[in-house]
Amino acid sequence: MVTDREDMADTDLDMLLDDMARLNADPSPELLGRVLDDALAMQPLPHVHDSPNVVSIFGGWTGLSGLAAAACAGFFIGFSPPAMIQDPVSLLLGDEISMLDTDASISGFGWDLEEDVPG
Amino acid sequence: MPLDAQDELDDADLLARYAAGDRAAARILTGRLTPIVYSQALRLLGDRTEAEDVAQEAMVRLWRIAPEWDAGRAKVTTWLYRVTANLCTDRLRKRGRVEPGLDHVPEQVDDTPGVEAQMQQNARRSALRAALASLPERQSLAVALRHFEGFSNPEIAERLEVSVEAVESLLSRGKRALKAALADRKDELGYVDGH
Repeated sequence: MVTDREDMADTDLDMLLDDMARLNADPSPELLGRVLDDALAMQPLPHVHDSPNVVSIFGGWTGLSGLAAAACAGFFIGFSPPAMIQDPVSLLLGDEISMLDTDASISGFGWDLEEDVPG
Repeated sequence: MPLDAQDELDDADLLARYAAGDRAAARILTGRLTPIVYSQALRLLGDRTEAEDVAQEAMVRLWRIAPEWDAGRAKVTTWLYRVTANLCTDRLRKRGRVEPGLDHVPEQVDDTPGVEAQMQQNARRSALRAALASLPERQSLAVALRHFEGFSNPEIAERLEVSVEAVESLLSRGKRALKAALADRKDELGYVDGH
């Protein structure tokens, strides 16, 4: 009959494990340097949390579209005001000037002076 | 946040800061975790050059996964233990044997008295490496966390996300497997009648 193999004693195994635990395993400065180099090379860029968002300044896309609509309406009214709306310039400066502004003649700009130039 | 305050943050918090671009977190994690993975690799491989390669690769995998790291998952160190163990296993398979090759640098061999004792110590460590490499992953992890890192059974249970009873079972089965694996070499390693 073959004698059963006797396993290692508990105390021997514990001593072996303790010996392994004491193994000097401090990483070299070179290894630490390489690991840090990898870390910094692979690191994502920092998040920028505080930069202003242009759209948010105007209250989001809804606000921005409202602003655009108002700008278009304002331009249209100023360029071709409805009949019930008086010319805004005349409202500010009076009718006399208003009559001159509606004169399509180019004399208001001094072009006629150029025709008088002897040629 | 001052650097000394960052030192008190746990690994998962530091990893989140690293992923957000905090370079100080990168330095702290490097200093804190590299010794752990290197120690584990050296114990399993017995070769400093290979252990350095494995440690660097394990840390690269950590940097890569950092943006996706879920703080609710396993502890960072536990995850690193598993990665390091798998990398070591791959190396051992490629090596084709557990003992390192001719380019292995002996741990300590010189002409001073006690060289025979030193050689026996090296042989015992080599045998233990072979036995550890043959263990299932969770048993190997439990034994390493208990005997090499000094964690208590409740601490190991938290890291492995199992009950304390499960840890006790893993340690019991792991040590039984180690003793059985080393039994054939008991005489060669100088273990006679328990000495």
